[in-house]
Amino acid sequence: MTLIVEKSGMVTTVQDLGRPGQRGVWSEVGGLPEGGAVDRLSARVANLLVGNIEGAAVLECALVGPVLTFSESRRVALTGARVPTLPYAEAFVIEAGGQLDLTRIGSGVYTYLAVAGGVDVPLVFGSRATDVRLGFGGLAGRPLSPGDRLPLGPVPAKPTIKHDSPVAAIGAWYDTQVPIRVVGGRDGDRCKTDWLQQSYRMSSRLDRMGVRLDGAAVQCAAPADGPSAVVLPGTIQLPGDGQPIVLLADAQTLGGYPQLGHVIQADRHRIAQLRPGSEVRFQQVSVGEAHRLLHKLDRELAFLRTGLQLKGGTRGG
Amino acid sequence: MVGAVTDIIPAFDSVTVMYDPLKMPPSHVSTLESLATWVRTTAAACRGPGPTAAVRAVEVPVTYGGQNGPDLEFVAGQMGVTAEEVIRIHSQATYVVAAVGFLPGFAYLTGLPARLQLARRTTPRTKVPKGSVAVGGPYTGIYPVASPGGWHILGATAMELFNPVGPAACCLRVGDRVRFVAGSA
Repeated sequence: MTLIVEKSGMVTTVQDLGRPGQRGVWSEVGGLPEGGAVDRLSARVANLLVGNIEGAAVLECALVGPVLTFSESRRVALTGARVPTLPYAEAFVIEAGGQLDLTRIGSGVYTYLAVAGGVDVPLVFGSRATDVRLGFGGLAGRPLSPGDRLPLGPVPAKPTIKHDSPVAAIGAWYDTQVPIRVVGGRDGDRCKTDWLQQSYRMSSRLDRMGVRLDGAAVQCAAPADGPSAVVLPGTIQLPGDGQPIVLLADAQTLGGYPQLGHVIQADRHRIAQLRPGSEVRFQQVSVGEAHRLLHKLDRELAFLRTGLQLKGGTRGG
Repeated sequence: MVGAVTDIIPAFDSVTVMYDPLKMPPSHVSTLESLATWVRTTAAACRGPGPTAAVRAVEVPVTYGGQNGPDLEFVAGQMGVTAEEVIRIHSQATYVVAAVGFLPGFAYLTGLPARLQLARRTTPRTKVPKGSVAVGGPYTGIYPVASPGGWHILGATAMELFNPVGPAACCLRVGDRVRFVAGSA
């Protein structure tokens, strides 16, 4: 069973939940980026909808998605950025020989395609995620190209789920009216500009490593190339030109720029889906509030997960 | 709460402790404090000389100059010495791994003699080859993969520091002692 890539899209990669815990002393190598889906929440939900484990490998499609042919019938689900012509956040079946056209991504940045059984590429450092910059993981360490054939894993032994789409819950998770919540960074207090009071626009300089923000330049007393320190997905760095960079999934592990703050874990999927040109505002919260928001999101995901499993059990077949 | 710790990353003058708030009970404030106490207690116990058994001595064979070290002559010119003198200074020092990161397996080596500490290139190279041995600011290091980079390349080593598809490569850990040995790779 394979997926055949007819058109590759802009940057389509195999992703899962990445390689956490391999930056430091417990890693064989050290300094491994976390990587994985930029919007992990969408990747997890897409997998749940087709009966996969949440960490199964999915396709992450940036801005313009691929066209795929299925060699046999499989259940699929789309989450993240919407493709207006296709069902959203609900499982549907592509028949053998059928095509899936994800070219038109209408909102957001990243669409996630989960296929029952997951994309079955080899594990590298415990993950199937593609690290494009370093050239490993996924399919030969690179984005998909036309003609590629992606192997799929065996279909999970679960009943076919007929469920109501959890689309309402998902919509609330991506509310663009809510500011992006941050906790303070080590250099945030050394800035002459109150960067939290400014609004920014997502620039078109974005990739899986990070996104540059456009706005009035932030003046900061911290040196632009100080001693390197740990940076993480969500860290907001300030390079010499005063335009902040929000690091995303493929962030390197050390960086020397001043650190204004860190996007909280519960909001990383939200900033990941903001399109170039859209406005972004930040709001500082305490570490306790960041924990509370993450626990809240986790409860909501658990609710959705339980709902899907209940419906799978009662209406399966 | 120690079970919530997901990674420990020493780097230069800091240690970053990563934790998963979902592995803490929702009454997080007290658990965060106890996590901070655990970090402080552990750090205090680590003061003074560490266990010497953990310190490894690693020798890195280097081919200096030529195509392997395109900046060797430039660095010699900046220092006002011969290329041979640059090689001698770089390979006589003993370095300590102060951090691993930026790239997987990239070790920031401290202990670079002051004369070899030069400003980074004004225009970074778009591609520094894998295995390049380079100096930048107060550090020297080895590029484990091809990467853009602003450091001055003195030579190259065949030592494998990062190989995602083959057998586990040699890797440098924070605290390791490193010497460069001039020769043919």
